[in-house]
Amino acid sequence: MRPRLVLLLALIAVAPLAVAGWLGARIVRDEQAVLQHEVRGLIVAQLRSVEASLAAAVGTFHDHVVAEMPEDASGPDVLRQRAWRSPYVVQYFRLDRGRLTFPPVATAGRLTPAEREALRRTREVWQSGALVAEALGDEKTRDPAEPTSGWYVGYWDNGLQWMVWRRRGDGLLVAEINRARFLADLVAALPETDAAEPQMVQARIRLVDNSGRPLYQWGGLKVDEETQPDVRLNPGAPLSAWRLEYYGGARALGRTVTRGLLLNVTIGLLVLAAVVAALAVYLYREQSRELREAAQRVTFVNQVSHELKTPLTSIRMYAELLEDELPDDDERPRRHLEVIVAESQRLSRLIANVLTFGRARRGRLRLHRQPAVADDVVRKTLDRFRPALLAQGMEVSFAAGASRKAEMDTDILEQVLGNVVSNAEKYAAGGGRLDVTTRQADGRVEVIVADHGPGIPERERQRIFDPFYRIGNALTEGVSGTGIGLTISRELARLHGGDLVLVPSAEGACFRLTLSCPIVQEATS
Amino acid sequence: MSVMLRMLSRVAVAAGVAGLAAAGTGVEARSVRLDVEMSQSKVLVTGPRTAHLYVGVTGLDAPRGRRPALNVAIVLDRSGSMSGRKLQEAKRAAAMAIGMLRGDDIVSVVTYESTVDVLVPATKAQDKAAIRRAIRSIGPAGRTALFGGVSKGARELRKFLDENRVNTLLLLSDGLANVGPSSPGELARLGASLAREGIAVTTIGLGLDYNEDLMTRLARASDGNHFFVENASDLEYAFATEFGDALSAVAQEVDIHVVCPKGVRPVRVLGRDALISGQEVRTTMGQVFADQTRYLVVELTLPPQEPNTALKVADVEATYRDLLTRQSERLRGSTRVTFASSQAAIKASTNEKVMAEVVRQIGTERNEVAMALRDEGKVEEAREAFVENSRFLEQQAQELDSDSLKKDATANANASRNLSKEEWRRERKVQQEMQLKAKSQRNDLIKDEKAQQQKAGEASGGTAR
Repeated sequence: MRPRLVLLLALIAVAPLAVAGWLGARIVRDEQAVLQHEVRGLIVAQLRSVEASLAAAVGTFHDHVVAEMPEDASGPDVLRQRAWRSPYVVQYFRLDRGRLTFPPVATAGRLTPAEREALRRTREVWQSGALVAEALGDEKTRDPAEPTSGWYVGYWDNGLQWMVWRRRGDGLLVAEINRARFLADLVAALPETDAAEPQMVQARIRLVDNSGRPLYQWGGLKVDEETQPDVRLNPGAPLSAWRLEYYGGARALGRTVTRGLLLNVTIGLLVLAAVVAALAVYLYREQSRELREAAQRVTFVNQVSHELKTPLTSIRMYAELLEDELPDDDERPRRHLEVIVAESQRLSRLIANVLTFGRARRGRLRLHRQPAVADDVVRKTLDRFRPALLAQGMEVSFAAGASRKAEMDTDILEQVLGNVVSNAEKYAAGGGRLDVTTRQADGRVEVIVADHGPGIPERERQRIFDPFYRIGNALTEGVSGTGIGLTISRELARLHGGDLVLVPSAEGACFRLTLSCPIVQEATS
Repeated sequence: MSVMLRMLSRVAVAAGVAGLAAAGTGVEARSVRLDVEMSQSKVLVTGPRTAHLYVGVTGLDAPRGRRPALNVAIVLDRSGSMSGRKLQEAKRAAAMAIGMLRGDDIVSVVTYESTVDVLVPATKAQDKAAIRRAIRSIGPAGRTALFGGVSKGARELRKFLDENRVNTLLLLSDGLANVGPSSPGELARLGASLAREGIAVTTIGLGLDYNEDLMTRLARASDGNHFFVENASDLEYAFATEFGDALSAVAQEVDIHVVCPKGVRPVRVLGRDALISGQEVRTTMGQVFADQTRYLVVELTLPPQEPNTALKVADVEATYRDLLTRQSERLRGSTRVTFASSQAAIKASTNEKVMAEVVRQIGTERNEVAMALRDEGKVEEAREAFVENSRFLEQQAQELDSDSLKKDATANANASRNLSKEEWRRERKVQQEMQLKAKSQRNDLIKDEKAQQQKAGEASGGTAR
């Protein structure tokens, strides 16, 4: 009883907590997701602004290069000197109608060693014609008068390299960029760690090249090789092979903000848990107290019943003795005595039931089999009831069919039968007749008690065997009863290897009691 | 014996009759003197007509108390490996250097580790206490974003970039650059670009773990100095030397333009980057310091001539910014050779000072070859090459009576003894430093030599404009 109660209370306490916890976790998670999303948006905006500074630096660099470019018609000396003096340009190339005219490839002897080297490393560019195609564009759509310029990105010398071209008519002037200087100028345009915005204290932004190596980084967060960036962004051309990577911020910021929420939810859950636990403990203690008090009451009733048994037995015995001693013609006192005997028998039954019930609850019911004839027991019991039944206007017919001596607990048979007959006496007196039939077969004794009273409604049939259950209708009104008679009767029958059931019948109530009673094999004399 | 040595000895041994028309010109303006000379003023008619043209730019003594304004960016490595005494000494040296500045000098301080901090953005060096406080606050951490540090330092310099200031980026590192571009070639290209804006990068390699190729090439490409500082306690000396140099600059952005007449072909320029286009040779020098000569050696081939005829070999023009007068100046000079048929006359015509510089450049080239052998793991061959180079330099030192060649001979001899794995790590840095010193083509004037040269210059009576 008690472990089940504890389990139940625990369940009642845990279930709402679990639900609340789950809901809380969901709220926190959803909130976190929303925040992450918002923070991500902020980071993307920040990276976009970095990208804008990069684009501005790229633009400035481009303008420097174009501003430095010599006239198209400049001779080799001018082109060489310009490149030699330029901080931005390593080598100039000139193309006319898509063909290289500087460095002077046609007259190889006039190439400087640097030019020879430059032609070697940029061979791919001129062979593929990609730059020329890009710079000259579509011949039909372009305006030949309009000078234009642009970037070209290629790969040589183990890395990405940049060129700036300027077009005038069919002529192209191409400047091979000093890559290191280009990078240095881009780096110079990006923030430093100490000048970075305050949110960069716990974050880091990296400019990463096409092979994933950081070119430059800033921000206070330490990042190792395994760390994955929160947000990646490819800058626009001509830097589109690179990436801007943002580390640490999304998680860190999300974490800080949700930490508050998480704390609130946790506190709420803890308070709820405390309240529910207190309630559970209170209920448990209340319940235990009631159970204890009930147990005390049962003990008290048991003791009282026990105390009542002895004087009652004496009263019955002496009343019966007195009945024998009375002269036969003395009607009045005899009738009075019969009442006394009948009522004391009823009281005995009641006490027997109470004590049996108590024993059953404590698990102390015992079977005491002895050789006996069922019919004798039944007859004796019916004889004892007969005066009371007659007084109620009920006749008893007994069809005996269990005459063989068998092993049985006569007390149980007597008690069960008594309860059933007593019920009939109480509720079915109107039927005027009580039919009792016994049968004996296969080591079983069967006793059927059928009355002709109002019967038991269909829906009550199972419940009449529940303890303390009494049919609440006109039938039971004004009739006293404890509500345990049928309960303990069935329990006793089952203890005896049988059962007590309500058998469907045309009218009234019909109980069938079966008991397992092995036949006693008597030696034939 | 290498081809180079054979060739050179032929030049040296070639002798001829002393000619009257042997001509070097010394041309002097306010702060700078231009010398245009030949290693030998006579050339053998029948021999290989290879000659070396020497162009020297000498900074003259500045008037007392005059010195150029500086624009310096101090870029300090504060990566994890700097922690402890190294960083302590670096901070001390930087603070000391701040003390050498004047109120109108510009200074900025940049530190780098995994990321870069601009500790002191470019500012006038007026509140020195605040700058020193900022320097004291530097703490070590992280990796080495050297490229980022240099980029930011250059940006700070650019804020006050001025042709009348000495614009110097002083870079200190004790380790390998590992964030951002880190190949010596790339940093050399960055250095070259900065040089063209008038920024010199002086590099200080601290300890034995830095990448000497990267540091020396960056310095060389930008015409800056390089210091190999093995012990942190010598940092202060390096800083003081560098600042002292910068303060003694008298001219900068020196452009040298050599034009050879038809028939004379410039073949190559020894030990420095130059543009040779047809008959013209161009090169630049960052700064010229007082009492110091910076020079250039051009290898030429001459056309055949009759004996005793003179041939103009080159017209030289030097333009520069005079840091004291804050004017752009121009100097011109020219030189000629006489053809002779006697080896003795040619030998007698040797200009020992110029020849010593030619030998020094050749010795440096050979030193580089030996170093490359060692880098390839050919220890024995490298040893032989160093020993041979040392012998060659020793012999030339005696012949030309040159102390600097003697020093180089000793250095090569030392290198040949320090080729084991452990010793080489340090020795390689020593050699790189020496190579850079030779290739930067500077010579401090010794006092009496100075006086003598000044006299010689006056005697030759060049024109200055």
